[in-house]
Amino acid sequence: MKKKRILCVPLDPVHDVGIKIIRNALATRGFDTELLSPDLPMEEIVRRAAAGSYDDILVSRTLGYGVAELLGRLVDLLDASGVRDRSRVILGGKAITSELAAELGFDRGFDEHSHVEDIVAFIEGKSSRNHVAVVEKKKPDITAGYSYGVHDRRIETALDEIVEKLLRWSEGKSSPGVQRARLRQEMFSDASGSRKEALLDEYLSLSDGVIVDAFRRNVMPKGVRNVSQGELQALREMLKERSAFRPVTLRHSGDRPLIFKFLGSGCPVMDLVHAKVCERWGVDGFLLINPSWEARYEGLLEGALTHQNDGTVTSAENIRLVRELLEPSTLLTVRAHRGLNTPETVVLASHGGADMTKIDLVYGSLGAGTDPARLAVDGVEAIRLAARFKMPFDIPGNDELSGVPAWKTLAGLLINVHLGTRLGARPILKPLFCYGPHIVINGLMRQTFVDYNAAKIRALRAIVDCPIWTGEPIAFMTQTEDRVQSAAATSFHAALGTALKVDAMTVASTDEAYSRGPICIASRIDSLQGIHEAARFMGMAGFAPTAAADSMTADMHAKIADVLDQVKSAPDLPAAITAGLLGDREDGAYPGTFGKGTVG
Amino acid sequence: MIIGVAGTAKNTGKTTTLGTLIQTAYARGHLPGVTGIGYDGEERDNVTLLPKPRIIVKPGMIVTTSEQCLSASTARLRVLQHSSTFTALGEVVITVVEKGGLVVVAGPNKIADLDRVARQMQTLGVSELLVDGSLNRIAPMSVADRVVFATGGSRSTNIGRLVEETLAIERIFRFGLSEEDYTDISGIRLVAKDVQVQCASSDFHSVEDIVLALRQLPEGLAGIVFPGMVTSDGLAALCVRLRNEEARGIAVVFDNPFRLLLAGEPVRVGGLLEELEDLSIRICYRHRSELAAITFNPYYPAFDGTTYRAAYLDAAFGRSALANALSTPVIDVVAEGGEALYAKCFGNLPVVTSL
Repeated sequence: MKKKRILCVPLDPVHDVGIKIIRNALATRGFDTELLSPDLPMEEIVRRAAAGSYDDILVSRTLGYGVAELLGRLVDLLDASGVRDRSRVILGGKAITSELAAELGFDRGFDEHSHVEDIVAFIEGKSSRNHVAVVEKKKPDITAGYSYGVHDRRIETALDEIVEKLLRWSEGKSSPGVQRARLRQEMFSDASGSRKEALLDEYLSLSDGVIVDAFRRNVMPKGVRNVSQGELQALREMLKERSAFRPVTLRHSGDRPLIFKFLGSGCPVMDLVHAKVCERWGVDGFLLINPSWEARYEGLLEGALTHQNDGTVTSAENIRLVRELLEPSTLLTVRAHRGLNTPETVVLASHGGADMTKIDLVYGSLGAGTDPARLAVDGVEAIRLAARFKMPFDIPGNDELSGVPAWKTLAGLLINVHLGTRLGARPILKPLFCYGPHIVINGLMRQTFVDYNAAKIRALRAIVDCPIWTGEPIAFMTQTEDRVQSAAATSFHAALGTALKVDAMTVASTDEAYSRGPICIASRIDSLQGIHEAARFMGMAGFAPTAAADSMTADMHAKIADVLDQVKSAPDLPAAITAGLLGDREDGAYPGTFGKGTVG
Repeated sequence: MIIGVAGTAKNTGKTTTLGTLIQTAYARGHLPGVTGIGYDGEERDNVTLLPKPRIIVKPGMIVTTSEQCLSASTARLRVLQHSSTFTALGEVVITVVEKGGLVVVAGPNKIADLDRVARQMQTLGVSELLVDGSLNRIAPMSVADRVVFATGGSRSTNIGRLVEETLAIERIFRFGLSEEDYTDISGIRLVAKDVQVQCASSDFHSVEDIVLALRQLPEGLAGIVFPGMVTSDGLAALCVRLRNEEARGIAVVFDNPFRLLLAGEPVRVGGLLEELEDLSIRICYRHRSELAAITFNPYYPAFDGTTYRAAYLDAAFGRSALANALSTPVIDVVAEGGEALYAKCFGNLPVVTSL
């Protein structure tokens, strides 16, 4: 087959790097290419194009003031010289869109985000649409390939005993949360009118007045209202207009770590607008975060609901809406462990199509305010449900933020992992990359932020074969109100996570810590751009923790084992939590009181 | 009848001129067809991001757009034909307007394709076809019988310079058709009474081609035919050579006025043509389009180095300066409406009352 002849025309004496890269790529693919020098007068370019017999003419030019007319004249000259009867003319450069290429009369336009493969495909006639080389993102499974085997015999023995005691303790116990979860499942599966009404009556008899008012009197909690059909329609219309999905690739190479962001503006419509922008910036998944007041009430609302303050209301409709409008490859996880609705949230998350959920029996009782006994009963049921629905669950170690030492927090995570594994679920460890109070007070990161964070990951890996997702978000308590500082801090922590080969990480926007209200999209992009640059800068290189990291790791490992031995000696997990074995008042952790006395 | 609406630059008022012609035709009971040589009708300018005039079409009109632009129109369009002509926005489709509204016009972007699509539209019954220009592009307009040139502040904020350039454009369109039929030739041809010398055969006549050809001038030279593209430097070389020859009375035949407009800055090209005329050389074309009118648009996007904002020249002064200098009608369609422009484009087509 005859080689295609390509003429490469840089029209810009400064920005001719792009076309040189493309020329090289085409040459290596066997095309017969010719590159003109960038300082030729237009008439000379046309003369050369007319004299040769080219299949395609690639023109490179960055758009700027008056450039459109210059490009229009070139196209006209090529047309008037008969060149366009035999050659296609393709334009590439910054800010070039398909519309502009069409307006200028080019056969195709490629911008700075186009891949060489797009151009090659067009030249080879393999496509007739722009941006055809759409990234086909596949939905990843964070837990794939992990055995959950415990490498440390002493720790394994302790975990076995702790979990055994917990399951024995919880056997036969129930709570309004567990009962509502069962009713919800029945309500979702049983559509008949009278039975459904009876189920709802029963459900509301187990719910607080604020939830009953919403169902029976259509009086919503303060600041909550239904999303209107018009708002939903406008959202769908807006998202329908989007062009082919073509995200930024945040990682420099490989498929890990996955990058997650929070959603929880209060409004699912705003959440989705943020999410769609973040998807384009390469985000792999989102965590749907509920309002803090929701945790205090028995029962959950129904419908597509918007809330005027932070925290998006947990409802099957809200989850389904978010899930439906995200890209199919994007992961969605729904926070369940906070408050009195843990098992029910797992049911709604599954029904709404979420991929994962978030359950931590220890943190939920220490940092998130739920009575340890109630959360133990609810948590066991929630993990069973997660296993049945095949939803992995992540276990955030955010009790460290209260001042709990890392080894106690990590011991708590390991209890959840072992319980989850025992119940047939797929848990995910979520240690913090943070500058938490215990670290600050004890000067553990005085020398560097690298060693102690690395020690957490190394210690966990030495103990169990389990996926690690650093959270939540990374760089917690290192960020300030300054956007540049905040993005830089996130980027460095992301680079460390990448070097440590973690499976995923949650990243904050640069205004998240100090926004005192909704965060803005630009700040979300700040941190993503930072991560992108950090990944590019680091590439395949890594961090080199100092020798101190080795002793920190060993110390962490030993202290985790000690904590687990202490918990093993307690009558059961709720008793251990109440006794402060996984974080005490001196640390800054207080057992929660929501739902106290509701376990029966 | 095919009417091209061309511009000397982006934002000189092509879309407004086109819209005025559409509305005037419709008011007179006609349904003009609309195509374009690029992409037009979008809400904001692709370069300046400033708001743009939109194109409103009426039921029954036949318009072209592209597959990708179909959904961008508020008018309801039914595809009549796929043209097999492709642009950066997909295949050009010929549609009929079923419900009036805004439309994004996309059309063939080169001469041969526009010629083919125009024929397809005429076969579908379009007798008045409007061709929407794009930026400063003019090459495909050679398909048009008549052309309206839009100029204004976006081309230059110096009204003296605008007048000078528009005069040069008018000069280029002034020349008539060749008496001889040179339709089928390609490459520079030297014509004498008994002999014809065929020189370079490319459609692009470089300075070197011209110089080489002029070295072979035969005895009894009667004409030189340039069927392809000539640059202003080539024209200058022609002037130099013919200045030293006894060329009085010979004909120099160019392909069409658009190719001469593309030869270089119109003022320079106009000056070189004047020099040839001063040598008593007869200039004519193989194909000709008429210059129907000039429209003047005082608007221009002022650039502060970062963003664009809308700004305006003195409309009355600009229009009268052009009108005083030119013999072609100068029309401000926003101030004067479309009747005079329509008459210059289509003549006095009867008013139809059955619409």
